[in-house]
Amino acid sequence: MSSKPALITDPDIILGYLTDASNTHGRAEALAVPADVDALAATLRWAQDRGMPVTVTARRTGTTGAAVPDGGLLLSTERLSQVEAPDIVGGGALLGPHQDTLEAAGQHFPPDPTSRYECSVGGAIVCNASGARSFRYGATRGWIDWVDVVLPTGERLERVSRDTPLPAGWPRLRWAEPPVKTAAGYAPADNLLDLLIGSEGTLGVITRAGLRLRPAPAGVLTMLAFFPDLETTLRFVDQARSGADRARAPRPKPGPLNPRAIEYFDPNALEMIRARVDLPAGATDALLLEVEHEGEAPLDRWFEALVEGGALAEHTVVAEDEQGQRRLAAIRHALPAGTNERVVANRMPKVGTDFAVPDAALAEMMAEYRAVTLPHVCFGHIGDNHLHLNLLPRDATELAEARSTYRRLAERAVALGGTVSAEHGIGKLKRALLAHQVGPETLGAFAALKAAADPAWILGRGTLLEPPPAPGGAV
Amino acid sequence: MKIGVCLKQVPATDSPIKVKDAVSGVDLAAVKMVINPYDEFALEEALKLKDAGIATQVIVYTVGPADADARLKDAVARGADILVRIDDPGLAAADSLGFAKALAAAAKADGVGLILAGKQAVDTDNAQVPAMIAELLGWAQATECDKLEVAGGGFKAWVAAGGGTRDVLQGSLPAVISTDKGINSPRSPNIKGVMASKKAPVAVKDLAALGLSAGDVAAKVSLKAWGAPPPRPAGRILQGAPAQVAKELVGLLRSEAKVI
Ligand SMILES: Cc1cc2nc3c(=O)[nH]c(=O)nc-3n(C[C@H](O)[C@H](O)[C@H](O)COP(=O)(O)OP(=O)(O)OC[C@H]3O[C@@H](n4cnc5c(N)ncnc54)[C@H](O)[C@@H]3O)c2cc1C
Repeated sequence: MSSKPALITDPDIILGYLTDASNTHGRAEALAVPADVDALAATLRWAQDRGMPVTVTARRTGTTGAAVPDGGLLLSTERLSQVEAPDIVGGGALLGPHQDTLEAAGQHFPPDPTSRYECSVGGAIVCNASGARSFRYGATRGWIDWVDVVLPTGERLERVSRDTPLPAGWPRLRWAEPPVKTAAGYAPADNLLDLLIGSEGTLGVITRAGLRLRPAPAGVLTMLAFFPDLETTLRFVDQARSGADRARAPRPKPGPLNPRAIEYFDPNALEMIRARVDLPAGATDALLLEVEHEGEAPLDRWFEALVEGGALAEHTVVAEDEQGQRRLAAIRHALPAGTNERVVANRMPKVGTDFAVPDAALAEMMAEYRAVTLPHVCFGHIGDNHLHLNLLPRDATELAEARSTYRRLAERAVALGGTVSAEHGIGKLKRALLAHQVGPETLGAFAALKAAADPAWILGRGTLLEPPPAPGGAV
Repeated sequence: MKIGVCLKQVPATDSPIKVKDAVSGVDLAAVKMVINPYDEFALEEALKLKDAGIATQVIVYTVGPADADARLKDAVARGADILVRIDDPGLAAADSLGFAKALAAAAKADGVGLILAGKQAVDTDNAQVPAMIAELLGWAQATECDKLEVAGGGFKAWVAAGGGTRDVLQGSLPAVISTDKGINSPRSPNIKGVMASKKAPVAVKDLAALGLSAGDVAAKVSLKAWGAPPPRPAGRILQGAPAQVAKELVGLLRSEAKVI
C-alpha cells in the first residue's frame, strides 16, 4: 500500500477550492497541493488504492462544474507552474501571461479563450479551450505537441505525443464527432495525446506540455463593421469566410478576404456598447473582423467588399495599431461585463448557450436565436457558427422558461448536425445534453473507456458521465 | 475658431524599457510607439468642439522625427484637418521650455484660438509644456481639466484642485487647456478616415520657419545621467502551519511594515 500524502484538511482553506465559474458549490474532505510530479503521482496512487474520488483543480474558471468536487480529495496543479522554455510549460502555469512573454519575443501561441489571463495551460488542454481566433487556428488541440501525464492509476507517462498509442486495455473510440468546433465528449482518437485533450480531467493529470509556436503576425487589422439587417450580415459572413484559410477548411492559397476571426454582435449587444462607439443610424447587427497582414493593411479591399456586401461600410471602425486594437477590445469586453451587470440587476442567473452548427445551418440557427422572446443578448464566434445566446431571466417563471428554451435550442443544434458544447465542455452540468447528442451506444463506449483507464473510477467523478456508486475511502 | 492640439509620440506604457547606459539614455529600437494617452483626450475634445460647430479646423502639432507621422495620421483619420510636425536638429537636446517655445510659435503663426494638450506625457511625466505655452503666449490656462465647456469667446474648465476636490475655472479665449482622464472617451477612426489619412500631407517646419533659432530653444535643464529605477525587493513567503504563519504575519505588519 502507498504511503499517505501530505493533505490539507483545514475547511477554511478548502473552501476556496469548492466552486468554479459555474457558480455551483461542492464539498471535499482534503486538498493536496503537490510540489512536484512525484508527489502528485504518489497522491493519485494512494487515492486509487482506496477508491477515493479525486478532482483535479486548476484555476477554476471552468463554467461547467468540472472542477467542483463531489466529496473526496482535491488535487491542485497550482505548484506545477514552471516555465522551462518558451515551448515547455507546467500544467498549472497561467496561459495569458506566458503568451505575452512569447509575443514580446515575436512568437505566438494562438489559443485565445477570453479567460486566458485567469486559466491554466493544463485546464485549457483538457477543456480543449478556444476563442475568436480559433476560426483561423482551431482550438488548443492543434497547438499541443506533447504532454507529460499522470494516469488515474498513478502511472507517469512522459512526452505523450500523437505517436503514443492508447495504453493496453483502453478501448479505441470510434464515433463520429460532429463536423464543427466541438468540446463535447472524448475525442475518437487513435493516440493518447488527442484522447487526453478535451478529456476534462477524467483520464489523467497534465503536468507539463510541449507547445507548438508560430511566428507572431507582422500586422493585424481589426474592423467593427455595421449592417442594416441580419440577412445582409449572414451573407457577408459567408462571403468573408468563403476564401479564408480556416482551421476547419485549411486553404494554403486563401482568397482576397482572409480574416482570422469573425465575431458577431446582435441588436441587444449593440445597445450594450452604444456608449462606447458611434453607432451609425440604421445599424442592427455588427461584425468584428480581424485580418493578419504583411506590409500595408488591406483596407481598400475590405472597404470594397463591405460596400458590395451591403454593410454600412463608411462607418466601419478601424484599428491598425495596438492603441486602436485596445479600444476595440474594450468595446468587445463590455459585452460580458454588460451581461453580468444585467444578471446582478435581475438577481437571476443567466442561461448561456455554447452550441455550434455546420456552416450550412447557420442561418437556421440564427433564426431560432432571433425568435427568442425572453430578454437576451447574443454575440460570439459566428465564423465558427458558434454564438453565445445569453438568456437573462428576470424572475423564476422566466428562469424556468429560459431553461426549457436552452434545452430546445440544444436539441435543435444537434438536429442540425451540431454540438451542445463548442468550447466550454460538458462538465457536471451538461451530462444530459451530451447523452442526447452522442446517444446510448457512444455513451456506453465512453463509460467502458473510463472504466479501463480508471478502475476505481476516482478521477473527475461526475464529469462527462454519470459515475457508478462510489466505493468510498476515508482520508 | 481654429483649435491646436499638441500630440506627442511616446513608448507604449507596457513596452519593456531598457536603459542603454548612463549617458545615451533608453533604447527605443524595439519599443512600440503610441499617441500619448492624455493627448488622445485633447484630440477628442477638439474633435467634439468641431462636431459641435465651435471649431472650424483642428490643427495637430508634434515635435519629433519622421516616424511620428504615423501618429499624426491616426489623428487625421479620426477627423483632424491639418498636421504639423516640427523637426529641427536644434531641438534634439531641447527641454520642455524649448518644445513649448516651438509649439507656441507654430500655433500663434496659424492663428489658433485654443490650444488643447494632454496634462502630461507618459514618457517623461514632466507636465510642463501646456503651462509654459500659456505663459509664453500670455494666454489663460487650465490644467488637468476633466470637463470643458467652450462658448461665446470663453471657457469653463473643471480641474483637479488637489485633495480630491475640483475647481471650476472660467476664462476668456485664447487659452491653453490640458486634459485629464475622464474628460471623454477617444473615438476610433472609421475606414474612410483611415484610407484618406494615408495620403494626408504633413507640413514639416524647422525652427527658422517658426522664427526661432537653436539658441532660443537651447536647454536650460541639463540631464545628469540615465538609470533604471532600483528593482523592487523580492517578496517574502512565510512558511509553516496557517495559524503560525498568520501570527508571524501580524507581528511583521506591526513591527516591520508598521501598518497596524
Ligand atoms: C469569463 C470566462 C470566459 C471564458 N472564456 C472561454 C473561452 O473563450 N473559450 C473557452 O474555451 N473557455 C472559456 N472559459 C472557460 C474556461 O476558462 C476554460 O475552460 C479553461 O480552460 C479552464 O481552465 P482552468 O485552469 O480554470 O481549469 P479549471 O476550471 O480549474 O478546471 C477545468 C477542468 O479541467 C480539469 N483540469 C484542470 N487542469 C488540469 C490538468 N492539469 N490536468 C487534468 N485536468 C485538469 C479540472 O479537473 C476540470 O475538470 C471561460 C471562463 C470564464 C470564467
